[in-house]
Amino acid sequence: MSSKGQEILSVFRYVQQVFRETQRILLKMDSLMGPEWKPVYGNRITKEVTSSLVDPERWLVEAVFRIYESTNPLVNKGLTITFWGDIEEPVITAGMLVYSDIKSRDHWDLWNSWFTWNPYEETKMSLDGQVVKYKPDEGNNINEVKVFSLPLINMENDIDVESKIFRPLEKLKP
Amino acid sequence: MIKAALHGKLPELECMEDALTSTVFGRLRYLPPEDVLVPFLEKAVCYSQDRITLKQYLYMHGINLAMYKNVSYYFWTHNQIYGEPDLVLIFNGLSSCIKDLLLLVEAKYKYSKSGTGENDQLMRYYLAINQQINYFRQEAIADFSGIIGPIIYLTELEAATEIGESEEAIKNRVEKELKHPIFHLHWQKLYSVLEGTQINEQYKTVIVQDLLSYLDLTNLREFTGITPPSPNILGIVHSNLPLFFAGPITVTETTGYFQGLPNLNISLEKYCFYRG
Repeated sequence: MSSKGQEILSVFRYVQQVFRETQRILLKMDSLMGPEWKPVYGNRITKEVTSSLVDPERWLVEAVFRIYESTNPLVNKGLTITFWGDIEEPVITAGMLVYSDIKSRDHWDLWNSWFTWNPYEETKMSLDGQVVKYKPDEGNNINEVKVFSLPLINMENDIDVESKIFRPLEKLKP
Repeated sequence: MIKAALHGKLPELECMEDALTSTVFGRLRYLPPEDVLVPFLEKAVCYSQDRITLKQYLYMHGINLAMYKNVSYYFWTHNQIYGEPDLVLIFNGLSSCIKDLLLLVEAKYKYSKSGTGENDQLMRYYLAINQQINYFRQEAIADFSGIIGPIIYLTELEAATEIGESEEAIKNRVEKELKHPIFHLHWQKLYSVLEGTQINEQYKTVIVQDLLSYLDLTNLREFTGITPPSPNILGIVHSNLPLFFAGPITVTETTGYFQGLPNLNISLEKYCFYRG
């Protein structure tokens, strides 16, 4: 075994560790959300990881999502954890989306609500947990967005997950 | 077996719920029940009764698990009609004032119930202990005459839907009012119970440490933050050199693919392929 090889292996092991710790956040959220809120996508937590030779950077999970719906399927709450991309550090985003039509609902709607469709450019990089509220543009199947983000590294334990993510999320109403 | 698992000798076991059940409860039975087993079980919650804990629920029924100093563990004991639950615990009262208590634990790890609808697994086990207990092969269970307590569904993932379905199945097919609701317990709760255990004896410390390591290995612990990368990982990532660069580049001068050729005494007398 070469030390260089072991170091490279340790990089992959580290990424796996981050994923294991991320799973704990998602499971904690499941527990906090309770039986009233059911995961929209079952146990699926990511997509667009490619199996293609030509896109090696996408061989690695970029982000995970956990979206819930309650008795009213038009109201979704959830979170995404984005590890890399056009960001300065891993981000945890949580929020509520009120749909007019869920037929064209997408796994990344919450993340896009924060990062892509957000009309308040200045809020995108200020990961301070402030809730951004807006109504997306015409033609979008989402009537209302209330979303906030924090650096993932701010989550230091279960109590942080509850106080910084779950409690603010619980307060969001249509 | 726990040592083999901790040393990575049994990677396949990391996904097997029977191995998990055996490893955890097999070790817990060597500790006094009040040290870990009781505080762990008491954290189970009931969704159909506002998330009341097992501790609160039993207390309402005049039962305090801390009063029991002796617990018998029965793993995969067979009921001839309804199958084989993972674990039956009999809390021995050891006095005429305290009746024995039976709790059934069905454990899952990475999978859900094996049987739904008419064949609902938790409904079958409910029937096994509440209506056909004498069909258990294990004599201590077949002859049990104490208090039959709730079923505890022990899982890694959320289970409210599964439990709700089981309770509905019982109400539709067995009896309209359940004797006891089904409780849900997360494997992850065990880690904090183990961490908070006050122990003085060396043998108990070893058991607890092994279990903590095992739960870490199987990722059955609550979230305690994202681990920052260690310095050697940062060194790899920030290196200016390609990852697979092993050292200085050496250049060997060669005149052809086959280095031995210049040494062969082959003379060219005429061209092979040129006619001009």
